[in-house]
Order: sequence, then C-alpha cells, then structure tokens
Amino acid sequence: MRQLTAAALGTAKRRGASYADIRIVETRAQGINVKNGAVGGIDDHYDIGFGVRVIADGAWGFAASNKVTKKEIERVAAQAVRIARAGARVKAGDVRLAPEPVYDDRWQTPCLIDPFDVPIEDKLDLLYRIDEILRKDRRIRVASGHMSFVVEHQWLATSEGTFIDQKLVRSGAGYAATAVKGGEAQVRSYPASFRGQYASLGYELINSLRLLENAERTRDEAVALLTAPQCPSGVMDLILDGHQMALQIHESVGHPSELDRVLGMEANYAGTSFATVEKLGKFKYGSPIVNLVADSTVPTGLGTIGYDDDGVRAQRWHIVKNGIFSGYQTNREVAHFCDDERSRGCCRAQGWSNIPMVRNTNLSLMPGDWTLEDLIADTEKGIYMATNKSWSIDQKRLNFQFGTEIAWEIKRGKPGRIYKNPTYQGITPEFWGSCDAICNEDRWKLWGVPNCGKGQPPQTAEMSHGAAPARFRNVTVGIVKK
Amino acid sequence: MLTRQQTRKICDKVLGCSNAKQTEVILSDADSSLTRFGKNAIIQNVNSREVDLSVRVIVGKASGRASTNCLDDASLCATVERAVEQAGAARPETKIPPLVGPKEYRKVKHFVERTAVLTPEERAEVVRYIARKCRRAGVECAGTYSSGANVLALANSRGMFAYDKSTSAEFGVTVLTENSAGWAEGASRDCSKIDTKNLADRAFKKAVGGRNPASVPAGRYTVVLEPAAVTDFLLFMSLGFSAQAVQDGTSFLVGRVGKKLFGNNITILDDAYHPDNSGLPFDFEGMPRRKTVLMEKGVVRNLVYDLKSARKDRVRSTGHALPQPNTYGGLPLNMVVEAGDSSLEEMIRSTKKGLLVTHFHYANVAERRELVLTGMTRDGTFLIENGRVKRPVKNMRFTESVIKALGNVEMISRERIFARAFFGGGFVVPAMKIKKFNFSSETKF
Repeated sequence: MRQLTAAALGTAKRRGASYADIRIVETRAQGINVKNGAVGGIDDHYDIGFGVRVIADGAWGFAASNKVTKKEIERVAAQAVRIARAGARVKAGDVRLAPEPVYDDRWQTPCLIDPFDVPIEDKLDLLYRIDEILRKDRRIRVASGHMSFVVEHQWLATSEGTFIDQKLVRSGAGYAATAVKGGEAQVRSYPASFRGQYASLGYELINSLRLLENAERTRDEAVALLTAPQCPSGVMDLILDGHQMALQIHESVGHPSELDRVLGMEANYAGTSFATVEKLGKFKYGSPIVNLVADSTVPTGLGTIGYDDDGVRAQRWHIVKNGIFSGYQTNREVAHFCDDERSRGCCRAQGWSNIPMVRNTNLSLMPGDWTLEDLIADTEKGIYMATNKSWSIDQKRLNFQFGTEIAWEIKRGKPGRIYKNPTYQGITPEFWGSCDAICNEDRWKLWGVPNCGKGQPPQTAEMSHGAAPARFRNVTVGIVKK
Repeated sequence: MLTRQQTRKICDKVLGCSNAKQTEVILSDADSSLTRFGKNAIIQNVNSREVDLSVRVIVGKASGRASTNCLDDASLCATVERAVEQAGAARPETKIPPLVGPKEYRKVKHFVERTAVLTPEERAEVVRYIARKCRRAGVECAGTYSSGANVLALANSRGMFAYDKSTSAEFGVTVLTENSAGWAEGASRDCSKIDTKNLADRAFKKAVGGRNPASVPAGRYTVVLEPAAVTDFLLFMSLGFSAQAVQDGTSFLVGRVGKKLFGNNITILDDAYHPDNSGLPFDFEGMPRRKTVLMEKGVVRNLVYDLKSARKDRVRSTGHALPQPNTYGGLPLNMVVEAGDSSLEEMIRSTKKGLLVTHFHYANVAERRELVLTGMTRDGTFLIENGRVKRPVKNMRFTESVIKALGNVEMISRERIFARAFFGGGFVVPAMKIKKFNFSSETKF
C-alpha cells in the first residue's frame, strides 16, 4: 500500500500541489432484509477504490477511481491537481490547514466476533424466527427484520508524512411490525426504528440485543396502537425516551454545531446554523443541567475512530457545558474560523469516492441523577414519548417538529393509556432551556445513527448519540391530528 | 464510459460463470463531477469514476445477491459464488417470479456529449459570475454545478439485455443576505440548456427582495407554490402508488383506487419518456417501462407494478421494478403533473391574501394513511395581498395532508419544470395555487 500511496503523493507534488492525501478504502458489506417470511433484500458487497485530495494554487481538488493500480493513481492524482487549479480561479483565500502531528499508526474497532465469520444461515434463521412471532397476530400486515454488517479497511497517507492503517467494523439489527385495520396503520419497532440499533461492534452486538425476547411485546404494542386514542393537543410536560433523545440531539445540537454549516458551506442543501461563531462561550443553549459531549473515542460509537480522514487523532470535548454553547465540530480546514488551534477530528468521507467534510461524531447528553420511575412519579400531568417515527427541522436548526411511534399519558405521577401519532414541536434553545430532569446512567445508552445525510454530492455517515430519558417543561404536543 | 459491447461482454462472462438456473446482472458505470461553492468561492471540486456490478441468482426457489466494483474475471466469478451462497441460505419461496426473456425497448436519446465532457474550468466560469455579483453586492452565494455520464446495463440468463447511456447536469444556487435567502435550480441532460445566468439572477433577486422579513401568524392561508415546492408532495405520493404498498395496507391509496380523491384539475402520469424527464426505458427486471396514468381528473386510476406485485394482483408488470428483491415493490420514479392554463403571475394577481412559497425544506411524513407532511418554507417566502407580492415574511412550518392540499388546488400553471425533491428524485411539475393550506408554526428567520 505504501508504494501505491507514494505514487499519488509524488505525482501531486510534481504537479505543484502544496498538500496531498490519498485514501485507499476496501469495504465488505452485507445487508439482509426479511419481510413477511421471505427474503426482502440480500446483498453481499465488496468494493475497493481510492480518492486523492490535493491543495494546488490554494484550492481543493479531488478525484477518485475504482482502479487501484499505480498508473491509474498517477492519472487521478494529476486530475485532482487540474481540478484544484480550476477551483482556484474562484477562491476567497488559500485553504489553510490547522497543524496536526504526523502519525504512523494502525487502529482497529475492537470486535469479538467478525460478522462475516457468522454463517448467513444463522442470521436468516434469527430473522425468520422473529418474523414468525411478529406475524402471529393477523393484524400485523408487514413484519420486517434487518441486519447489516460493514468492515471498512482504509489506508490514509498524506504529503506531511502521516500513514494510518485503520479498520472499522459496524453492525446493526432490528425489526418492525406494522398493524393495519380499516383506515389505520401503526408501527412499532425494536430496538429502534429505521432498521434498529447499530454500533461499532462485531456480531456480539446482535447477541446482546435480546431481539427474540422483545418481539411479542413489539407486536402487541403495534396492534394496541390501532385502537389507541389520538395524542392530545396542548402545552404540557414531555418526557422523551433515549431513542427520541438521540434524534433530538442529532438534529438540534449535532448539525448546528458543524462549523462548515455555520460558515455557509452547506447553505445550498442542508442549510446553515443559528449557532453562529459570536455565540461561542456565551450563548445559553439549554438549562444548566444540559451537558452535551462530542466524543470520537467512546467505545462502540458509530463515529468512534482512531483518526479522521484528515489524519487527526480522535478526541472528546464539550459542545454544550452547563447549558452554555462551548464548542464546534471541525476539521483542519475550518478550525481556525472559531479560533481553535487544532481540528476536533470530525472530517470524514463516505467510502473512497467522496471528498471528506465535517461530519457529526458521537455526541451525547450526559446523564443526570433521576431514575425513570422517580421522574414519572414527579410529573403531575404530561406525556412520555418513545421511539422516533418522523422528523423535520428548519435550515438553521431552530424550528423542529418530531414524531414518535407511541406515547403514554402521565397522570398524577403514573403512566396511563397509550396514544397514537404523538408529535411535538419547539424552538431549539427554548426547548433545551426547558429541560429540568435527566435520568441517570442506568438508563443511558448509545444509539447508532447509520444514515446521516449531508453534502453535495450527498454522502452518508454514521455516528452515535448517548442519552437517557429526559423531561422538558411546557412543550407544544399533538400537532398532527388525524 | 463502458460501451454496449463492453457491458455485454462483461455480463456474458458473469452469466458464463454461473451454474444457477437463473442469473441476472446489473452493471453500472458513472463518471461524476461537481463544483461546489460557498461564501462566494469554490470550496469543493470533485470527480469520481465508479462502476458497480450486481449479480442475482435464483437457485431452486430462493434468491441471493452479491455485488462488486472489480471487473476482472476472478472477481466476477467470486461474486457469482457469493450470490449462490446467499441463495443457498434463504428459505424456498413460491412467490419469486421467473426472469424475463428478451424485450424490445423504446429508443431514447439522453446522452449529450457536451455534458459528458464539461470541464472544471467551464464550471468555474459559471460560478465566477454569481460569486462576483454577490461579492459586489455584499451578499454571499452557495451552490453546486454538477455534470456526469452514466451507463446502466441489465442482462439475464434468459437472454434479456438492456443498455442505457445518459448524461445529467444540474446548477443550483442559494444567495444569502444578512436576513434573507433566495434560491433557484435547473437540471437537464444537456448542460447548454441550463440558463445558469438566469438562475443565478433569480436567486439573487429573490434574496435581495426578501430582506427584513416580517412575521405572520401560523394558520390557514391560500398558497402559491412554485414548482419546486410542489415536487416534495410528489416524492411522498410516489411511495403510495406502489401496488405493493397498497397490498401491504400501508399506502395512502388503500381503499381509494378507482375513487375520486382530488379535483378535476389533477392528472398525474408516470412517464419516463416525457422530454423533461431522463427516465430509463426499462426497469430493473428488464421490463419495458410503461407510461402509466396514475391519477386522471382527480380519480386514482392505476398503481405501478413489478413482477411480484403484479402476480399477486393478477395483472401485468407496468415496468417499474427496483432491483430485486426489495421491500418497496415498483415505484413511479418519473411522475409528471399535467399542466393547467394559468401562470404564476395570474395566480398571484388572483390572490386577495396568501403566501408565495419558493420551495420547502426537510419535508417528511408525519402520518402516512392521510399522507400528512410537515416541512419548512425556505429561500423566499412572501406575503401576497390584493393580487401583489406585498412583502417578505419569515419562514413557516406547514403540517398538511397532501390529500387535502391537492383537493384544494384552484389554479395550475402552464409552465412546468423538472424539479428535484429535497430527499432525492425529481418530477415534472407546475406551480399551483392551493386554498386553506395549513401552517402550524413559525420560526425565527
């Protein structure tokens, strides 16, 4: 590999690049879907390629190819330099990279059971058994189960001398039951919606999820939702479960704290951010109990890495500390715009064919000291919402409206009947400002997000958000009426 | 790009490796370039060349799929072996339709050489115009100019072979002032047909004219939706026109096929051959893609089918299959809304009080059986009073059933454009004037 990477760096240098890097990425991925007792999708994918990124005349250029040969690498490196020079015709200033030590290192996701060592028969057998349980009630019209495994091996070499050999392993599984009767269709999922729970682990993740044990309850809740009353409308106290908290963190803290968005680099697609640079260190993002920590070192997080695609070592830092906006997610290019001397190591690309950019890493709400039982007992009148179902947020990440699969009424400190179609709406800093209780670490869990979209051309990235259930006072709920 | 002969040769090699009774190959080749700009400068400039080869085998009554981007002989055979291994593990099914034999496809021409060879220097010149204009005016622009060429080939062991070669180009620009934004986008298979200067000027004018927006309260308004705002409705409707979604009971069209859902002014087709679309003439099972009337004068006429869902309803496939197996069934990827007899200007002139919406951001399904969507207005929202655009307003969140909204359409424009939806896909859509459209909350800008 070092010979191949040297070919790219040498060509780029000879063509006049002031900086160059090359990532060679080899990926093995497996996705399995079972729907209503039959295979709904199955693929075993192998892929290899490389991307060369250069700075020439002060501008970025990037080119990529699937042919990993010395000749093609030299051609593509030269093409990247030409593209950079074209970009330099319309530049605001030279790209400046924050300094980072040079590394020569290897890093690998800790993994007990290689998911590709587990026979496909075993994986399908588990999904078929879940499917049978879910479809025991005839009102379940769609039962779907899913498993996904990725092993991504990447070699990164930079013209500064860094060489990193990194192997990332990700696994995920989950299922959903859709109950249908008359004009009603309701869904319940386990362990999470949108294909389940994901983590940087091997097959040991699947063994730990208690998938079979929860199938009956999931099915029965989907059926019960068919006759449940509509979520009431009004302003009331709201408790969110950990999975919905993860979505809340992702959309209303994760994306607004990506510094490239703040700077307008994403303005034409995903949007910008209300969390502008002058607010750093001063702005009240939430109540004093709100502490949100970015951490690309936390075990099992989907964003957990040894090094990012800039070759920056993984780190842990506050985005919100005691309610105050305290930090951004950055890469080497944008770090200096918030006066950081070093990148936070959030530069990642999807595969070999895309240019790296600032991505959310693992971002978590630190646990409080409540038990869930005490929190519910302490809530006179409210609603407890669980498992994300829908999401929408404005382009500056202020006005959001989210929905969950199920909710429970809380009356005089006790959980009551279930509601269908729960939704709530708010404005980001006002909402986090209303957070007055967070459950303790017994309920804290990292939730994997395997499908975060950003960029043009669009790229998918993975990250996790840790959260325990939390309470928010005086929230507008029940916007969607049927 | 891979030629017809080259793809055929590769597909034949794959079919030659396979001992399975039925084998299908999907081979794609893409050369994609994109220049991205922000803060009045080019910030990303990329090119990638990607191939993908996907093999499906049907062994007995089970199927498996494997894929690779390595096209050497050993990799092709190894991919077939992995697909066979997947199939060997799956339970037998009675519902897997057999692969189709050779078919005739309608000839389409959507490869334009000048788009395929568009250079980064040419894209930079386009960006230079709007960047300079914004810099001089003290505002900022962001956007992309992309171009690319794609090849898709399908083949199977029953002799089916299909090949398509296409190009695409797209220019989108957002202009930002201190408290407003404007946006415009254009797409074509022929880059020379995108009037980039006009699009840039439109975005600029909208941003500058949108300065200092005022708040208006949430509530029901008459809305004039520009075409790009209409296209998000189509994206979520398209999932409901899948026959499989109706069979599963999850579509908004359950119990509504054959019934009148909207007014007489709403007719929607799926038409891959429409001149503003760049649809494939075949689907991913090798069936010819059929022009299909989905909704005629407000009545739900047809759903779209792949082979499996067609077999269940005992009808013919309409040629809308995705790669098999999948959980969606067939999808109408090339929807076209019939034009009306109005114009955007006439819609505004006829509105006593309402809102003009440029496009929506992050629309998503809040309730699927009534197809309730929620999303934000974006990049230019204006109050209309007494037939004139009165002033810019802050963005609003809508929460509305598409069924109700398209039942309240008062006017439709003659002009239609191909407009992309926020989450992908794109459709040929007009502007619409809709009464009693529900905005559920406001935002701060």
